[in-house]
Amino acid sequence: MPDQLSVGDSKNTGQADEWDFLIRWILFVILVSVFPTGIGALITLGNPEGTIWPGVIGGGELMVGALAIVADGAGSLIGKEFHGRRLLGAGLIVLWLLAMTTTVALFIGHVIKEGLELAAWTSTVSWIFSCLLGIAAKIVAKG
Amino acid sequence: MSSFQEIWLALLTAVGAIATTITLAIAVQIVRERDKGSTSERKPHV
Repeated sequence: MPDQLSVGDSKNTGQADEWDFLIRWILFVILVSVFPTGIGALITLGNPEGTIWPGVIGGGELMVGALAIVADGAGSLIGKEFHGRRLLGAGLIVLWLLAMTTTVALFIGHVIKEGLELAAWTSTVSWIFSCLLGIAAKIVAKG
Repeated sequence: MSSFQEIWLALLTAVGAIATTITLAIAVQIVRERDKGSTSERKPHV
């Protein structure tokens, strides 16, 4: 009986460590990556012209952070055994990584330049999906 | 007529939504299976 308890406890401790790791990753990777953008938004709060959001992220700055997040998620899958669900998950994350890389290249090449608001939407959408896929990648890699 | 950028944003949103939904579903399934496994392991054996 004590042996069974200790096995169950060590399993629970392992799971708690995994959740701790995920929470720390969200705090230090996702939140810290938006610090500069957040500070930029705060600085422009006093801007009499308004329209803070497209002006701050319309240049594609958020895209670089989003690309780093999804690249980190994809990187955590390297060296894992791929079959079934993990293969599908990894394939979708790599597909998104390619889509993000192309979008960042379009930003850098000034192909995406028509309107700040449209560029800001592209950044926002990419960042949200990248964060969610980054979290999913970490879970799939551990699973 | 839609501009290239509008089409790109629509494509990016579609790809992102599909990839995110499926990958998150896989992740949730993995977590649920893991939780179920740990619960059954903790049951006292008679």
